[in-house]
Amino acid sequence: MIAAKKPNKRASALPAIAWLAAFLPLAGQAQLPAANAPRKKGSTIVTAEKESTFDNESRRASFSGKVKVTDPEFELTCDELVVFLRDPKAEPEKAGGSSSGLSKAIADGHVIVIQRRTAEDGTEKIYRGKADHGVYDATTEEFVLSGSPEVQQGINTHTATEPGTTMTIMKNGKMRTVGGSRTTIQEAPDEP
Amino acid sequence: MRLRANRPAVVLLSLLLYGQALAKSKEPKAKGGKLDFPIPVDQDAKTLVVPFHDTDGKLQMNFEIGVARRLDADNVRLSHATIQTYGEDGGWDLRIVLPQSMLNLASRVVTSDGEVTIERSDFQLTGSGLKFNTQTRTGTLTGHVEMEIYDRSEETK
Repeated sequence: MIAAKKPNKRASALPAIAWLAAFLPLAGQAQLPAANAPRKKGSTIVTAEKESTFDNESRRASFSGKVKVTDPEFELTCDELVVFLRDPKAEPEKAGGSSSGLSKAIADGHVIVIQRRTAEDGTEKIYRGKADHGVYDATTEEFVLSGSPEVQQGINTHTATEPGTTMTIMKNGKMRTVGGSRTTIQEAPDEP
Repeated sequence: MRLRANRPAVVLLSLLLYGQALAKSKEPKAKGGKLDFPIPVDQDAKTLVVPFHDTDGKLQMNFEIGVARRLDADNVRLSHATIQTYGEDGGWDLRIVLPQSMLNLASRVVTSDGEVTIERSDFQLTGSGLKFNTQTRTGTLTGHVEMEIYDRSEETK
């Protein structure tokens, strides 16, 4: 069920400033190199301040404490993260699909994600989402946000109005919302 | 007569010893038994390679060590060690680079408080400390942790 109400309400500049403040640390981090070591092209970089546990057999690693992810598909910060790596034997690389070694990422706590998508008409859309919980599936290249999700894209800000609302940022540059939500359309500031 | 008078103390002591033995038996022990490390206690060995095989004789891992010192029956201090583990197919699985670490031969657990790098064909993981179980191949890295997950199309180039 898609239930996105669009009251076409013009908001003040304050929410925009709040959004900018929320994403400033992530934006700054994205510009910096993840580490001094040389990186392989297309790699996913995960950093955490506290610890990481990994299980070689299940190809699973978990991270805690100010977790940051820089992937060619998205940038993410959260409190805790579990990543699953692809098994090349069980999951051969598909032509045209994501070639990332990452199979799935499950983020919890203060999840903030920035995802760039190219729409069907070729325009690039930047989605900025925040939620309590987020799941990225590298096979579908979709990011599902739940737990009071809020997604900003251009002048539109989608805010959940129900606890069970989920928002999915899709590969084709569209967004799917399941559950109650409110959309705020904010007027772009005038050019000086 | 004296023994009868001290019977409660003897029973108490026996219970205490039994409890200690029970507690000791609950310490984590590796399934395949204790690792065999060919160095006498309190002696250094330099530049050595120690292979470990499973009960079927299959190579499980190789320890390449700059300096190893056996501290007691169970613990070996390793300097400039690289642990290479092997998969079921015999190919290399994990490579763990440990400038300073400690290996417990009974539990088969390697610990380090220093810089650690774990490499596999599809990722590299670094941290400021490690506890790694060489048998289950599970581990915990502490401190500032960083993982680089490689792009698969780059791997094949």
